[in-house]
Amino acid sequence: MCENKQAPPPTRRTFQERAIYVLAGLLNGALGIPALAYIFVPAKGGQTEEWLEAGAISGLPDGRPTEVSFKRTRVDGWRVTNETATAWVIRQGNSITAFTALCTHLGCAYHWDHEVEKFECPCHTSFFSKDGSVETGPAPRALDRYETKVENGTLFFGTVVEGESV
Amino acid sequence: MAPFIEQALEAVDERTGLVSFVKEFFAEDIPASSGWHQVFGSIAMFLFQIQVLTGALLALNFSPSPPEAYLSVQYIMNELTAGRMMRGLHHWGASAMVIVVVLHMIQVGVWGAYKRPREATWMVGMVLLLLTLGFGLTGYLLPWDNKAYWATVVTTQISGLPPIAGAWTKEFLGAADGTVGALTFARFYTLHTMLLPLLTVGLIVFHVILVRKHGVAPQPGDENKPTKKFYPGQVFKDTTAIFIVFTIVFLMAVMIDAPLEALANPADKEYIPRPDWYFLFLFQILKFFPGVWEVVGAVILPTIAIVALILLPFIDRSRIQKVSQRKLAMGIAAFGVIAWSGLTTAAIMTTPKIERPQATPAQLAGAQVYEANNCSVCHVVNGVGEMIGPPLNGIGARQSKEEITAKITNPQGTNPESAMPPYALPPEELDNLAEFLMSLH
Repeated sequence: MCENKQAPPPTRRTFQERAIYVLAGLLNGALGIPALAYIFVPAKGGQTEEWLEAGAISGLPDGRPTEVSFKRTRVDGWRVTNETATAWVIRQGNSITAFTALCTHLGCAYHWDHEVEKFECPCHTSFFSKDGSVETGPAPRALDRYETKVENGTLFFGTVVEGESV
Repeated sequence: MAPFIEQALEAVDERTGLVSFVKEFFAEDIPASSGWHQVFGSIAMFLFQIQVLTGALLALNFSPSPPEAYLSVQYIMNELTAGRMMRGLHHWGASAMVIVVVLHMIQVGVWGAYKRPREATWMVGMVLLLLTLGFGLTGYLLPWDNKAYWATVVTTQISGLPPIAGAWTKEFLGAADGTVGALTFARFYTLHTMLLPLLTVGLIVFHVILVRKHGVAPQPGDENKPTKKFYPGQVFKDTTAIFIVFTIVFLMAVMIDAPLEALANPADKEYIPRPDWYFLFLFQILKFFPGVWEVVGAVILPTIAIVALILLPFIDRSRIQKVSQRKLAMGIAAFGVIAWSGLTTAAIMTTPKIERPQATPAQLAGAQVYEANNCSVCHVVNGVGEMIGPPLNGIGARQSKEEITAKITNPQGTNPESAMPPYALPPEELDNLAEFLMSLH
């Protein structure tokens, strides 16, 4: 092998440069990948899937949307709380529809307007008809609903089903 | 390099000077004698970056207030992907940083690199060492477990020992009344995540500027040899050393969980508090100073040692010698390490084992269920906990075991307005928990 004695051997310089990049790359990977997982992978625990009791159906007027409150357990990071939530429920004979309480546009609470017979969101004036479909306004989809069931005259809410897109 | 990249770099450099700055930084001339013994500063800087990164990541999921702080640490450890690793990196990285910063100081001290004109570099470095210890002291409280609580009670008491300044320090740390709670926690958190990091970043920049201003300290004989370039030779050594240290810290983070004891319990009179390992020698020194002399061991001696170290460049004003001739410096460093090891070992050996009062196995298991579910976030037992729900001492006299278990599984069953979440515990755990609650008088 012939090597230049004056300058440092080029092979060693190349080796050192490569080693710096490889080691720094490994290091950044070993830190960066778990860090991204830590930030973006959802936490293991979560909302428990169960039927939530929402009172007796006998109190619900026939055909008129009524705001019903119910208790639910909310898992919020390290905090587990018992909170009161509401839903808009319409009983028509034996069929029951329950809409979640928030507008599908940007999450404001909407209300039933008795005079115009529509759900009205005060934030950006989205209007929904009694069956939850969008009539006017910026809402991108019909109102979301809870799965419902009735046992011994008591109403239960299940999982949320997203409303149909406009 | 592709021509468009070169053009882009040139355009950036013309406007910011950043590219030339980086080039000049790596093209620094360093003396012929420099080598592996000078890697510690770079490792310390790297470890500080790890602490900043993992600290910020932990803060994303941390509730900086007791007792929820404890719950959020549990959440990080048990619920989040790589949460254990992030806390492990922060915990073991902190220990590694203390070791590396001290090794950096010993290397500079033994080689005599603090001598004129590098006195300011040394003094700034000493302040950085103290800041590193300050991070350890303030970070210790944040998991809000028993260890955190009791060690900080002792720390804040010690901070109150010096006349006049002691009272102010205790006031500043929110511990004027001798207790540790929400106020002290907020002060420690602010120090740990805002004030100390800002100060440290500023002083690291100043430290590095000073190192560059004076250049790496030469040894006698270097003047006759050609200088070397920082890149790639020394950068390679630094990177290799950083990689080795990182591998150790990483493996520890993966294999050994950062400890998290039971929730802080100010009523736990059996708990024996001990500081983190790097403070054990100070703790051991305290034992040698009875009564009124305590302030000597706790405050005066450490202060003298720190001031002497800061002023070392002015105490030792001899000319630069080869490291092999610096026998006295080596002796002092060796004495320091041996004394530190001896005191630390003595502190570990004299730590008594914790003995708990006897209870039935079911009650003991129930107490663990109580702790594991963090009931004290809402209930008070033996004076510990929050008053959100009813205190639980004496509940056995008011309610039957069946009533208690019913309330735990379905709190809204007896009281629809109850804010308590239902706990779906396995039957055995539920039974043990009820046994424990029944035993509280």
